[in-house]
Amino acid sequence: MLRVAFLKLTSCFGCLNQALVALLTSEDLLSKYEIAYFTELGTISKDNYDLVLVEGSVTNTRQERQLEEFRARSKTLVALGTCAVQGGVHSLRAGEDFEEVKKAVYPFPQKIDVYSEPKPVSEIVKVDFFLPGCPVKGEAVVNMLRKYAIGGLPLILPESVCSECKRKGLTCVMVSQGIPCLGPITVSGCGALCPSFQRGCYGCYGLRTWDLNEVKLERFIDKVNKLGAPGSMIQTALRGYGYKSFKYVKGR
Amino acid sequence: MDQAKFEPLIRVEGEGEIAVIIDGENRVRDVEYHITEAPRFFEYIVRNKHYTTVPDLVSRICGLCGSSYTLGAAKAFEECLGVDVPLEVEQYRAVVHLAERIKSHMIHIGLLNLPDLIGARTFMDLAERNPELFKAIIELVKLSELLMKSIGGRIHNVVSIQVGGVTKLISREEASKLNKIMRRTFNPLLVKFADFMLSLETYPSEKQDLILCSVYEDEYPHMSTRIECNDMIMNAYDFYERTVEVLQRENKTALLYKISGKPYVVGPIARFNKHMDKLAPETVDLLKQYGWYRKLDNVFQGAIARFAEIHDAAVEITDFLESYEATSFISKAEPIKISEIGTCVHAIEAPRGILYHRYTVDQQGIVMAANLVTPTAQNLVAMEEIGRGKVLKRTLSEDIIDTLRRVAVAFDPCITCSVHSIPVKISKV
Repeated sequence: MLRVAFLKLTSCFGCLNQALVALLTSEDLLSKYEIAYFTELGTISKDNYDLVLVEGSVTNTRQERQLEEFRARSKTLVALGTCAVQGGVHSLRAGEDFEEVKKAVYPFPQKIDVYSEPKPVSEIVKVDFFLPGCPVKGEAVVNMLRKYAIGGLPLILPESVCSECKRKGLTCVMVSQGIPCLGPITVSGCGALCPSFQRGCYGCYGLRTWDLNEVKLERFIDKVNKLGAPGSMIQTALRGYGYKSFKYVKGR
Repeated sequence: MDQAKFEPLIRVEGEGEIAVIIDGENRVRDVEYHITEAPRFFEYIVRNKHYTTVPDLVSRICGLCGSSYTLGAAKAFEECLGVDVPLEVEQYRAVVHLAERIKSHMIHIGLLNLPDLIGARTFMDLAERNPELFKAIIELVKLSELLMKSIGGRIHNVVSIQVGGVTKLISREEASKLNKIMRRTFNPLLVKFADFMLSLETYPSEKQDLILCSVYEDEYPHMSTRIECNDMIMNAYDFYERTVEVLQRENKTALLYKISGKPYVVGPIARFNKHMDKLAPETVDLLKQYGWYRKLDNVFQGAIARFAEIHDAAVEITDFLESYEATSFISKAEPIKISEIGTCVHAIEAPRGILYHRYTVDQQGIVMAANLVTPTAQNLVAMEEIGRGKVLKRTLSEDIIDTLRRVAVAFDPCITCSVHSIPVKISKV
């Protein structure tokens, strides 16, 4: 039996729940994996693990230590979901006056052990595999667990949401209906979910990083702006879900 | 000398800790439930965002009840911006909300609460002891996910709900397929599960005097702009912005909510005890068969309310699918003219209780300020008072820790979405 741990950092529990349900509903996997650490289920074995799935980004020193500890006790570490991979939507506070941020939520902001800017998991420890998604897709977790059980990790095709639309035979919502869609700059993996629901992609899987540059990005943003995309749609994708990739694009 | 003992809270969603303060004779002097979840400042990050992007954004607050956030936000904006949503579309969105209620309750009962009720340590122990029950739970969870995926796109962060309506409706063929699944698989399995849940004799029977609050409407509570607390009914804005006291514990940073200095309870038990007569007739009949059509005595019986709500939701969804006519209405999210700064308010019954939204928007439709009050944050004081009442002055033992943990699990605290709660640094006294 492979020992798998589920570790939650700063996040919503959505990805770990997806992963848990995916595992529990796949009989073949239940005979291969032992859930060694999952606080929600009440299993908190602290020995070594074969695999640890990490949800969320790192926002305080306690989490940083915990992550290092889990890395040291695991053969393989997977960053699960957009928060773990690129920082996630709560990165939208990054770069703002942090005292103002705290004041907006708490009437008496005091000493809070939290970073002004969330860190992706890979900024703290070595990550063996990245699985983006907000939330991560259950099927993708099942595929990964199956592949891992036979001694490997899935192959990643670097492509945008557009290629998923093409494969599904969906008519482009942007070209045919003028709906602003961030599919061209967004990492694939969702199965072109939003376009298949007659709406534009809003970038929750994070940005493509391998072949985008600032010029291409600016040009694309101009295009969706002309279609009437609200500024906050682009802001949420670039400075939220795909925050760290945007920094990469910016060459910072 | 005083000592403090801290235990990680297991079998709750999110991260929390129980702090037990004991005196020199090892007797419990105080109990505090701590939320160690790191804050994500959602009320800040929705600022300066156009209202059309907010429903998807706030969905990220909770991985278990995201569609309550999405729908609650959409409804808040629709009401204050004067957007009409046709009744059939409203019902369609309610189905997403009901499916989420089923999913969330099934996960709580099956994976988190049942082990306590049958004396198993974890869900995996339960699976070993009762493989058939395990299979039924997994199958029900799976089917609730299928429902959410078909109607909402995925099980968290649904994509079909927008301000103004939905982006896409399922076809009549899809609806009839789902209807068949509900009738042939889900509903019969649920009746089997009922026989197990409702015949269990391990629900504690002590009486608890609780102030119960839920949204107020003519039907079983789902969403409204009014709140009912015991016998008092008022609008949600007055309740949350004027009546409820928001307190900050001395030297601590978690926010606590009270009414007239007293804790109150939101969630399944509040909805059930006050509105059980509005449940589906089929649900009422089933409860009567097992002697559970009566007010629940305490929060430990909350599983009964959750089960009743799963059943009621299943009946409602099946009826909806049965008579489903795909309408041609699709929300186009047309730009709305905003005449003045608006205060957009809505209260929605998330699986764990009332979720209050308030957004202030300017004439360009940009959010200037927001206030979100989550169910778990509201239940925290009651959770602590009940826990404290059960263990105060008793000598510390494994049993005490277990009791305190059970109190927390009974409330089904989804700590993840308690955006008002801040991690507490723990040090020995």
